[in-house]
Amino acid sequence: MRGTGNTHYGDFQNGDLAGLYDRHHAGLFRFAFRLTGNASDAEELVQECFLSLLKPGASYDPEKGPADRYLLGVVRNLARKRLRQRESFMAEPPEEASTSNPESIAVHAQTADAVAAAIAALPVAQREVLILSFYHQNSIAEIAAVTGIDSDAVKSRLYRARTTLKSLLAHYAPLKEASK
Amino acid sequence: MTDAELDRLLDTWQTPEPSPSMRQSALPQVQALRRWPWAVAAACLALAAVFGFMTLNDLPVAQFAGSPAPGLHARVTVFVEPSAQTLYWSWRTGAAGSMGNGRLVRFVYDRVSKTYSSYQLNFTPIGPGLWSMTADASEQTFAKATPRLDLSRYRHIPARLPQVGRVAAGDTVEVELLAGLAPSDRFRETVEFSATPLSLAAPPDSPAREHAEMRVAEPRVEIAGRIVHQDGGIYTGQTIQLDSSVEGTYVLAIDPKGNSNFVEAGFAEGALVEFRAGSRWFRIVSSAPVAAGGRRTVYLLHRPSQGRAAGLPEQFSVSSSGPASLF
Repeated sequence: MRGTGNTHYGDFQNGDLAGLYDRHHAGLFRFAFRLTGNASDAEELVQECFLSLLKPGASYDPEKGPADRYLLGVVRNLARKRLRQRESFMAEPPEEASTSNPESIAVHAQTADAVAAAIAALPVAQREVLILSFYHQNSIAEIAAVTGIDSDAVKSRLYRARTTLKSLLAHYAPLKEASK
Repeated sequence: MTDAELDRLLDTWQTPEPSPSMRQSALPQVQALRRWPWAVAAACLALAAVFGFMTLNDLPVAQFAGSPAPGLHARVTVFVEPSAQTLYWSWRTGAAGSMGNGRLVRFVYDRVSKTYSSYQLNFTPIGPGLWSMTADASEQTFAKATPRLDLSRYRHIPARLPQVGRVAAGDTVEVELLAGLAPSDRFRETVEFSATPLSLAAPPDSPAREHAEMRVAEPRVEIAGRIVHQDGGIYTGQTIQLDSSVEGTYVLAIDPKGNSNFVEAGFAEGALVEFRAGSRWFRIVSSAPVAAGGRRTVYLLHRPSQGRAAGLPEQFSVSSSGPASLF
């Protein structure tokens, strides 16, 4: 969500809710979509995010950073909650192939599909760090703030995510080179 | 693979843009809540309903109506308590049932814990407008109703049955299912009796929910014009499942939720669903409209059966479940 300016929560407190929504909802949607892999889920998460700002217990300290980082954190937490529910439901999938199997991923005809599947196969802790880093161009410090972990843990998760992706997507690198 | 090569690959994954309707539907709701903060909780529940099941107080998970005996009509309504857990249990559980020949048979099973509860109510007329009712919560009732499920993998939790000896129009009995499975959640059904056919609750008016939801009422399933299954249930959810004892499960959705395992297979229009699976053309006739919005494309995920019932006639059952993104 870089490039959207340093919007502060004061905008919301001062009544510019529509402005806050307009500035951030697309970026939040893309973040949620990449976390969940599902457009409907992503839209719902963004709506829940803005609704959650109105909860009596919701708190935000502008001193701690811009609103976009706060909102990313809210979406991240909501997505995690939803993914946990889904994983609970899918705790014993009897007939589905594991998406963590590189061979199953390799059958995807489209490179983008394979990338999406490979990222979906990452543990959620690595997935969110990779998405925030690569797709949202957040710094290590910013990711640490959003996820609530320290910078070293961010670096470690990012490294593991990229290493796993290189392995899962190994089949696609030659194709990419060949298409140059 | 180098870091640069990985970056080029990652760049190929683009996201869709949020739909224009997202802002239109979200902002008025959020702004209204800003004026009435007490309504936040209700709004969150309404958002959850997008998944396909009712979550507000005293609204049922599902309903099922029919006539278990001549002159006696019944309506089964399934509730989860607390209602905030409705969505969660709707995802986990499946249910079906049948009425007729002096019986009402119901079962509910939990896919996660591999448990089930079932019961059978038997009715015998003992006078004008009066029936004696006996109840049976034995495991066999489940076996009759679920030809495809492998019972050996499921643990039976006896249903808590009503202690009513006779029933008449206007009576209601209550059954508790999957008792003790969760410490604070309760899965219960009410069975209402009437001398005339009982109507079913209208689905809540929610554009987002309507967009994704299917509702099959009193389905008649045909293959190439031959009726292969018929029951009096009402099945509401973002996916409808047709279980075959031979071929496995056909999961139908009108909104595949981005799940690429679902393929375009047919359509839903009015009170009709038609789809192709392999060489077979299925037709499901409902007594009520299946989906909102005119003719809708139907997407199919076929989960083949792991253990085919060789030599036995193919049997079908219908159920409903959560959004396609869960499959």
